[in-house]
Amino acid sequence: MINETSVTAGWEVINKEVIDGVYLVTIKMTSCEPDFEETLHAQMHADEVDHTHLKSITEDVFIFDHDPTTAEIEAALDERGFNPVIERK
Amino acid sequence: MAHGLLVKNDDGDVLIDSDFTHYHFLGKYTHSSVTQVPDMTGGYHASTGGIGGNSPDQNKGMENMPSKGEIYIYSVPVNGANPPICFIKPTSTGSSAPYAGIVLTKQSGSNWEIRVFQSTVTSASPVLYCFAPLNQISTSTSSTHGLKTFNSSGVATFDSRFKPLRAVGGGEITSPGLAHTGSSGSSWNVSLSVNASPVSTSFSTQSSASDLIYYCPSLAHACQKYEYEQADSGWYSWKRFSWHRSDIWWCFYRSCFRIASTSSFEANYGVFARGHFYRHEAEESTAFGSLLGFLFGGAIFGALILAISASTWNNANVEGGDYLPYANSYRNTSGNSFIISKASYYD
Repeated sequence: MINETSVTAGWEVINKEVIDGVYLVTIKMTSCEPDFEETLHAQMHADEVDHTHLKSITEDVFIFDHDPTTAEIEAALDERGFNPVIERK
Repeated sequence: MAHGLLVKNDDGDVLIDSDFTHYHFLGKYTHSSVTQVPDMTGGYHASTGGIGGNSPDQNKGMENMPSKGEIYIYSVPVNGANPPICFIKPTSTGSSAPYAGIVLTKQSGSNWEIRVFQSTVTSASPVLYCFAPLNQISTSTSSTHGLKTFNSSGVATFDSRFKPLRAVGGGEITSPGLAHTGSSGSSWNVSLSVNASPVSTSFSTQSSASDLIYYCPSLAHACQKYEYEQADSGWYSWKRFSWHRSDIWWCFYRSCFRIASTSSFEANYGVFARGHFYRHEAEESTAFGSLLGFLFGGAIFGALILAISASTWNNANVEGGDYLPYANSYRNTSGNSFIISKASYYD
């Protein structure tokens, strides 16, 4: 049986506050390793082959002078260095 | 006003009004003690060394957190209902000077307790120049000349012999919004130091910045956090493993101020309180168990796998609770009144 945490990479706005026209947007960013192909993954477990299911989640605040669009949020995430994929080492 | 005295300057500003309770010099005070808000830390720390080859054990204390400022505590002997107006004589002035502001004014018996927050720790300490209404000043004077006014009830409201408060400048100042802008951290390394640019406002140019004292209580505050979480599971060196770590770092900032030049007053933040909480769960199958599984297969190894499989630590987040007053926001940044005076008027 393979019982592992399922994670979807991506981002999510978890809080948005407007003070004097300043938009304070707290975003949760999730990164994870690329998905395994299912059969290969099951075989790795059967063979006890070293492999991992690493994920990381970061919460941070971003500032905008207007209500940001999805594209503007993604541009800000890129600028901050967010990568949804953790490269397997 | 049917009777009394009203003195104005060329601009029409009132200098003396016998119906108004003027504040007079009470004294100059040094602090009685210094304190800091204790760090709020804690966490659940499993024995995780080497699990999965990558279970992160670093930075479980206050590593990389910005330094806190100091809180100076003063006891001002002014028994009465009106709190003293306390001006800060800062430890230094200029663009590298620490920021300071009054964060608490509290009546304590026959005294008033004043707390001054300074953004950085210095060897020198700020000094308070305090003022109070005449009826709350118990000192006497032997001087027999000067100007003294009374209100319609016969209560003394102004007395030139007791060094009335003289303002040389003033206005309103707005504090920055967030204390820290940009990324708050990377992986297990937090970055919450104050990097906001100071907000500057001007006042009438004076001859010497080091002679200036200011009254400007701290009203604005900001609170910011950084959260990071990692989890991993899988196979490593013939062992099934699973670990999960979650951390919250936060800082609570109070606004504070400095004399930047002979005509410039600046506002920014200092770190008033800070905290770090974490939770770290980890487990792995034993090498002995793996060996048994290899030799005998079946039930023993299956049981081990089930035990670790159940430990995917979906619930390993930091426990819910009020760790900080609010997150990633700020309050009361605008409309902070300030008054500038000179220490040499009272020394």
